[in-house]
Amino acid sequence: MIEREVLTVEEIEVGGLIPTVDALRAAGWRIIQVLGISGTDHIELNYSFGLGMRHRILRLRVAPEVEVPSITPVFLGAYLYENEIRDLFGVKIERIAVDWLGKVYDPVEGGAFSKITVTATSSEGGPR
Amino acid sequence: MSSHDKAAPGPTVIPFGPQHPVLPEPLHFDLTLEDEKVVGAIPQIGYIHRGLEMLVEKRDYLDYVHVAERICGICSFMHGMGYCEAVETILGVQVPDRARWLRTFWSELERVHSHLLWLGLAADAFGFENLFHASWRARETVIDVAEETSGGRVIFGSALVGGVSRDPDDETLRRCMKAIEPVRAEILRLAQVWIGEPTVRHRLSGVGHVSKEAAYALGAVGPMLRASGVDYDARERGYEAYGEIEFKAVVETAGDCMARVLVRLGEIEQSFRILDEVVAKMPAGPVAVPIKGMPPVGESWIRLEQPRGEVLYFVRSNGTRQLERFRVRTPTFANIPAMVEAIKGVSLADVPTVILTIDPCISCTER
Amino acid sequence: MSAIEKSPWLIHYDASSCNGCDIEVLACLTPMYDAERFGCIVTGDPKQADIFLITGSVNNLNIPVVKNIYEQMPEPKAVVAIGACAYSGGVFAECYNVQGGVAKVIPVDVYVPGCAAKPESILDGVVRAAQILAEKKKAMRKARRAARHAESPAQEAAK
Repeated sequence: MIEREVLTVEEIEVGGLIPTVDALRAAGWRIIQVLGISGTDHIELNYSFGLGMRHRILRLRVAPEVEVPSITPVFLGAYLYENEIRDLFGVKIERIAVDWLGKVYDPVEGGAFSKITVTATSSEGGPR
Repeated sequence: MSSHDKAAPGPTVIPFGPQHPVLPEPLHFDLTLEDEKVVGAIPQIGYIHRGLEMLVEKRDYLDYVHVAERICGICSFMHGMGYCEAVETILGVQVPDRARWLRTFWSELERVHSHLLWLGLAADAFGFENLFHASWRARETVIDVAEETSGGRVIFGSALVGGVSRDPDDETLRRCMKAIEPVRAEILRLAQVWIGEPTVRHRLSGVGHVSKEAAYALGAVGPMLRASGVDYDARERGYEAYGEIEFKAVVETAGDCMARVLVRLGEIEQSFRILDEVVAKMPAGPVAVPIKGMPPVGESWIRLEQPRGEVLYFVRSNGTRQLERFRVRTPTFANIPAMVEAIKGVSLADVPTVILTIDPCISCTER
Repeated sequence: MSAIEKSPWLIHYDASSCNGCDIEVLACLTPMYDAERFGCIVTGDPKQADIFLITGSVNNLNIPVVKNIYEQMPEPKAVVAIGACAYSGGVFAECYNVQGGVAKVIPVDVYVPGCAAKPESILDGVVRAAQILAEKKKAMRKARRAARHAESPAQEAAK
């Protein structure tokens, strides 16, 4: 029998991240991924968790200067995602268990995925 | 390279990679050793990072499927298909039945060729040249079938938003299934070597152990997760035609390198059964629906089971022909923490074997 | 025909390709295509290699690795750039972390077309690279002989 996939998205605040994630861990969820999306004035972080066919997303919108706590004390496996997001989006993620100190990709330009600074300097004339 | 300290007691750090004889792709580890035993490993990725997720902002959303197919050359069709599924979900498009079944056909074909490729590379990692060549010879027949039905050897090029771009007729499909019949016998023969050969067992049994709890908590996926005893296969989500096919996830409980081999051997056999069923049940009809206009504003999350494990696609559209964000979380990316766990405690000589048994695909990991 | 042409040793490195060309390079070495019939052996050691098979484009992180491998290879040496990415970046040319083809970093002797390149064309590229190796070797010998000749009259005179 096919279990239907259930997708839920819930918006949370930075302060609520660790308690929510703790509760998920206790309930047997596993980490699927952390995704960053850059807006023009904020970064959206999506933490995905899975339990069987259920898929739950915690959505967090943070301003670039806000510090986000690392979820690696709860889900150690998240260290790659968090390092990546810090490198590509410039999000301040604090105390990652395995910290690459901004050297995951060493891309041509730092924070390549972040549109925050890009739009601030080239908002006129650009197609986007 | 670190300098040679004069017989310094305590741990030694040894760099492993990025260019290394057993690795077809660059991956770097800083291995901390105590004598011959690995006590810690820090992975370093980024040698193949291209940044193709950003490219979605420059390309038309229908053309981007060609880029999606090139996220990885081994699971290329499934990457293209996952992107298409994600976009179709936003568009609200129902793919024709024949396209769904053809996608399933190519997915399973890709799983067989990927697992055979991996069996060869893993054998090569512990120096069993003969087994490497035998696996790859068997794989060539599978690749021939892929080329005949899809047009491409490794990059199939047959994924299309709204369906598939090629329609091999039923006669061709049946002929192809007959052509890979000898491969099944060959794989059974190879499986005997993998399972029965004492030298293979010696290198794999009890090496690189990951417990069920660790695999689950670290977010491992695919054969890595199933070899540790967790029964999870994203195909059970029933995407494409999987909802109409009988299959059960292949699960082993030992959690060592041997268990990972057994899971993949089981999956090859299972994929052949699915291929048989797909060809027998292949419905008639069109293989694509035309897609026109702009995608509506929206987002979608798609999870698929690739040869290396569960993959996740995220697509967000802002209502223009260029999507706002595309994200792929590939199986190897999720498996790296578990791989580091597996490396701890093995001897230096076993490191290549352990790395290879997670079936690393660095190209898709770094995108 | 020189020994180097009859038995060139290969080294393979994936700069930043999608893996498609890499598995085709490996397919070349396995029984179906069997590059070993041209005397090729794959080695993991750059210091033993004559032909450098490189796939994919270059970026900040892998440029030192590519240069390092190339510089460690003994003269004469040939570089085969495999696939569209190794030529120009291919479909990824516009990506922010792709700086372009490998020719930006090391001199390329043979380009193998394709995305992904087919094993037949990779074999063709290897065979051509072997010919180029032989020519380079001949040129090196000639240059050495010329240098000796240029020296020897002076030495004769000194006696």
